[in-house]
Amino acid sequence: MFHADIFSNLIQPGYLNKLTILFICLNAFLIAAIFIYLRKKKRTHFIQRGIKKSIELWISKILLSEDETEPAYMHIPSKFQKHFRDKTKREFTVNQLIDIKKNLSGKIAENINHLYEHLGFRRDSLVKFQSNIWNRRAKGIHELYMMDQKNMLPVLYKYTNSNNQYVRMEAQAALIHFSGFEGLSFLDNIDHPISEWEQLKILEQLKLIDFTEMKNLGRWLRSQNFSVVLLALKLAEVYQEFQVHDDVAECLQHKDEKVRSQAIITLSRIANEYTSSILVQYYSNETLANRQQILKCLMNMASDNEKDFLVTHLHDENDSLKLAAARVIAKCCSNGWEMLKEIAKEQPHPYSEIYFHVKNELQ
Amino acid sequence: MNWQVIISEALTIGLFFYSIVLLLFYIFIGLYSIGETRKYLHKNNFTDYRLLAASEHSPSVSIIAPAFNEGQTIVENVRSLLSIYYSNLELIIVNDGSKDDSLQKLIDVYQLEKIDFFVRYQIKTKNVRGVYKSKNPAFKKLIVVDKENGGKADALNAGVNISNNDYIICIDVDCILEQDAILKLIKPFLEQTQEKIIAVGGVIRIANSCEIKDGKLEKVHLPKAYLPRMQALEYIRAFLLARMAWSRLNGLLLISGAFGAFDKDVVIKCGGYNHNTVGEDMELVVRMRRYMEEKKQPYKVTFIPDPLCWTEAPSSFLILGRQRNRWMRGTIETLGMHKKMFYNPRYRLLGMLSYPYWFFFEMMAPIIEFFGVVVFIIMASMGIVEWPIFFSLLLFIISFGFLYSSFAIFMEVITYNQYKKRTDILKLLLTSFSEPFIYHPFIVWASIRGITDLLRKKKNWGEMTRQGFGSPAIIKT
Repeated sequence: MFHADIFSNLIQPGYLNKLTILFICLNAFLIAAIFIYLRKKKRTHFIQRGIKKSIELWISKILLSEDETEPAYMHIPSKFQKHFRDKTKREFTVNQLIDIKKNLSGKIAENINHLYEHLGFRRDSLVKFQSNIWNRRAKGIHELYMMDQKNMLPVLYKYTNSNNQYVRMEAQAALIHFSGFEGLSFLDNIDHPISEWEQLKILEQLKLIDFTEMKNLGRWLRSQNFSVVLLALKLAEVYQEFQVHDDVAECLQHKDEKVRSQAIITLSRIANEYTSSILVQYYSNETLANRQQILKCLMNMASDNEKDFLVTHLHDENDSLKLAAARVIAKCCSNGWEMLKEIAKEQPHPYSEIYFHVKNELQ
Repeated sequence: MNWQVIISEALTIGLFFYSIVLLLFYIFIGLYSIGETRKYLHKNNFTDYRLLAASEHSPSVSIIAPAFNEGQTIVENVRSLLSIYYSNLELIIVNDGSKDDSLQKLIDVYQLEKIDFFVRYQIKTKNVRGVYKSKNPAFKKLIVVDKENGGKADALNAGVNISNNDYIICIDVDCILEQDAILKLIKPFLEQTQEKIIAVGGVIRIANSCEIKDGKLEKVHLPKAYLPRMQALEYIRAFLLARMAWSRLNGLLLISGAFGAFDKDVVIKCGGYNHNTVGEDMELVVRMRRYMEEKKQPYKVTFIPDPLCWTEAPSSFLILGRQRNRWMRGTIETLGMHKKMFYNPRYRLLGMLSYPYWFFFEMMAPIIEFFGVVVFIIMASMGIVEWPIFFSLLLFIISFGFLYSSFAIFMEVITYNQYKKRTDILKLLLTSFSEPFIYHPFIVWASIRGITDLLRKKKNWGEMTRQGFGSPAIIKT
């Protein structure tokens, strides 16, 4: 291994020693950096704790103040003036204000907005928003809408179609924050896919807002952007938009499996007398997962009209489909239980187990 | 030149280039992981995870925890898992034919009753003897499956068969999860639009010496004992650097069996866990990736740097040796089962980089190192070692090892900083100095034992005795 001739041709001890010294120096530098960082972090922690305490106290004073002519937020305590010259402390304070505001509404929340503006934090948010670094821009947008800077709406709108997913997501949230259901208008023009996380965020955000009609829902259901269709289907499901039943039914032919799956779920929420037969019609062309979904949804709407279909699929090769069909028969068909019992007697395996499983689940 | 010189030169040159490539890989991994961790921290800077917990549109998740003879700790472990924060969740405990009173304890404490349950054997497993659910609505998330003994992989597969949900999280029953662990682990599945996320891994940390009360982690401490402390450092390096870098490359081959989330549909399509290997966790990830590559479907296996899962590390050389012996056998078995991918361009990065890396630098490294030591001893005894070069090389390698560990500790400190005390960080740094002399040689030896056991066709798992988190408030040492 350490044969002199070969090895000394490949490795010169001089070079190795120089590299070793370099590594040792880098190591020393890293160790120093670790302890300097830890020290700084500890200091910052105590400072932030102090600021947090003082801010909470100050804000509670502001919130309790009834002086309309000269609101309490106009007087910045001198210790804050010193703190607010430091960028990190300002950043921390903005985060604190956002956290506090999340749990407040009405006049009190407005006062927090005034405070944010009065302390010049809006300028900080604008600087972040104008940054070319995506995470700073997203943070800037977040702060601006959390602090109700509604005049930013036209500027923010164009970022709802930003190339960066996180900037886009914050801009979309801003639009909904400012305009409620009308803010969903960005769905008309969006070129990028909306992730399921974004969709979930939008749906949860909308829950906190008074419902207003979604005029373009039909158009979104026909969008070329699959994720827009998916979100529109979820909106139709949550807000039970019965008027788009036919558009939703059309989505059963969509080429994306997830869209079809969501269409099945949505149809079950806005079902009419034809929905069961429509679902049954598409069943045979569907994937295994969507077949299961159809059978699951039929539990809320099937009738004796679907009995033959269900009995056929009670004998499907796939055990999950057998079980799902048995559930629908038991719940929706007249004499369903008797029928399952009869089949279980004739062919105990697996139908006896299926019968008792369904019985345990539903009765 | 005679043949001895030719062989000697070939070996020397080969080893030299092997070492250079390995070092370059380490440097690349260390630096490349920074971007992934930074991105993760930035994008989740103001994420409100409560949205996911509360939403009716959040995906349904099943936690599957196999248990074999865990009677001492099972009740506390289940209590800990039941406290996890996520609404659309079921917890499946699979009693893999335990010979102790695990099942009876669960029945008594959680008021379980056997229910009629039609088991769909989507993946073939040993017979399920019964499925139990609680009469108490407070434990409605809990399902206990009692089955014939078939090993960990078989128990996990039984859990997959029982699961009603879209995603499965496979964990070791004695792991302690952070309250928001599922929220963080599931989010990546929802974020991607171009590629399907098939699996997500999370960071595992060492719970030895931590304060644990009622199945919850109360306070984090650096392990007091040497071996767990060394493993704490090893886990920081592995999870915060290596896995983050491989995740960024989309070349991750391993998600730890102790904590990982999977798309259930893909797991079933791949046939579930393989019970012919002791490395079933790695084998599943490799097979899932291979399946997606062969189907030509865009996919990703991703990893998140949050410390979400805490586990008890072996604190004796005997148990640690068994664990590393098994890991080595699992690696070799998995690579053997998928040798078709080795430098096969059809499998793209998986075949051209991930697999060869594991082959040369995870599987072969202990063999080469052991071989190197043997040759060195022979040469030293023959007096043909050039000592100045030897010492230069030794110092070079050791200083590089320290640097890599220090960098990992630095990354830990500026990101999650689990060990708050400066003395803990200092101890961790000092521990890294001892690694090349105590810990590393032992790990190499355990791996060599793994290889010899495999050659002798030993298939046993290797008993893993743990102290457990059973008592109401303990500090584990």
